[in-house]
Amino acid sequence: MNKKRIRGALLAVGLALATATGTSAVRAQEKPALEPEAARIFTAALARIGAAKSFTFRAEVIGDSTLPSGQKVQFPGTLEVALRRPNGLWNLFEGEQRTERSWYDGKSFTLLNGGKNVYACWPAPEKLDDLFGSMKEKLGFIPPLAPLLRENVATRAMEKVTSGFIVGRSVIGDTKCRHLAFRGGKTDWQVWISEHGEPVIKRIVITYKLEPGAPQYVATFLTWDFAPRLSDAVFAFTPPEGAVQCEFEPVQR
Amino acid sequence: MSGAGMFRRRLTACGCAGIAGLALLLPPAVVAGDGDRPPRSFNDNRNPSWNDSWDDGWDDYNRTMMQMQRESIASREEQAREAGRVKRRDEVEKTQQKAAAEHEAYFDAILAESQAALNAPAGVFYRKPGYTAADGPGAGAQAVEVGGIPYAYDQGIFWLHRGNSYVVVTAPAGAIVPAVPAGANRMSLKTGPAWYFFGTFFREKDGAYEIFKPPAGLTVFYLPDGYTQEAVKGVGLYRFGEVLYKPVFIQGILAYQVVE
Repeated sequence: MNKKRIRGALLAVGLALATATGTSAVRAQEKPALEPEAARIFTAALARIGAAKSFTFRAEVIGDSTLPSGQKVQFPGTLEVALRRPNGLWNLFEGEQRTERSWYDGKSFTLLNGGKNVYACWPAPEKLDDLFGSMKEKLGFIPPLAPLLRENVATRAMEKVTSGFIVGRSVIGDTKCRHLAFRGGKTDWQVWISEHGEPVIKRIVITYKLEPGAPQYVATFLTWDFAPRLSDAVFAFTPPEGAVQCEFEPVQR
Repeated sequence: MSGAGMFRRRLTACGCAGIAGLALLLPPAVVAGDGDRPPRSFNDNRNPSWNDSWDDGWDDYNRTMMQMQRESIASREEQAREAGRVKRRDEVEKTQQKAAAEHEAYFDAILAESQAALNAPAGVFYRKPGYTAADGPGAGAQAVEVGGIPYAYDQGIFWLHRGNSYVVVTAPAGAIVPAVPAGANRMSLKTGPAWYFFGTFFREKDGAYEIFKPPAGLTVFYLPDGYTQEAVKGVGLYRFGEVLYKPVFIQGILAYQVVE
């Protein structure tokens, strides 16, 4: 008799839980995959970058590398970028494995390996936004954080987003931020955007979820300047003394 | 004499005999008294009138002897405890050393594993050509003969015996070695798998590994310490041993391509 009662009670609890879970699932389905407020905040921050005539930023970046054993190691570095639309880009990356600088002036793109003092030049498209696509296709790489540097960054990013929501609030450095999370086809993004004043991205975490070990790339932005004075000299390359010139190996298709 | 008195006297006699026996056991310097007086008590300062009465004196002597006995026992116990502590300290030290060695081995294994995966493994066993040492290669070195020249091969490095010392040389093509060194980068060639280790190329041959000269176009992502730079027809090239490389950016990463 007692066993029957216990069994009945368990059944009731089970049904209640199942109903509750089912309700949650329905609610979750009803909830939009992309929360409008998350999209609005993200778009606003990206639109500011896209609309800027020029800007500079300095960031601390960390890239994961998954070893064949599955163990992950991180390679930290600092990245400085100066951009002037429509045809100026300079960056400096100083990392554990290499130090690199690149220059783009609307005529050529030059990459210099500082450690070995070796550089290569490549005749580049006239406009910055064409540079990235062309580089990817012909050289097999793009400058660090290049997706953020495009004029239409907001549109392109939101096209890729399949879902997104506001995770919460936190402080990056000394800036109060909204923490957002987005999903795309190949990557997931987490973004921290300043809560007050003009929206500024303070941190990005990109998760390459389809790669073995799901490595991440983290960029924490230390400074942004949306009104820098950038002369032509910033984007003009002059070979350092003793530098060896080489070629870019074209992508084999 | 009452039974109680007899008992007390026997007890006293036993006590005296016991003390005398104990005195014989102790070193003379300790038991030597001042004339017929018992030795001065350790409690002199506490009890300056020790010789005011004989009984008091004995009492004091007894306490002194007992104190000495206790201290002797305590000393032995302390020695035993100290020995135990030393033993425990040794055990702890050995455990720590073992743990440190295990940790080091674990760390080395991780390092070796990661270094094997990275482009330029730094810290693996490597000596650049020209390096000379009196003791030469390690005990695990194996004799390898190429073109009548006897080499010693150890962990990817080839040594030649020169007088009283050993000198590191670039790997001779055609040498057959039993294993590729830790940290070698595996490559896939049209002819099969190959390994690269600090300017030396290995490929499988009859269950062992053969050192071979790389074909033109083969690319590596680091050159070992000891390469030289030279300009050929105005182009900057790098030479390591008999192989000439040109720098090239592959997907933005600096690499070195064999040109001859």
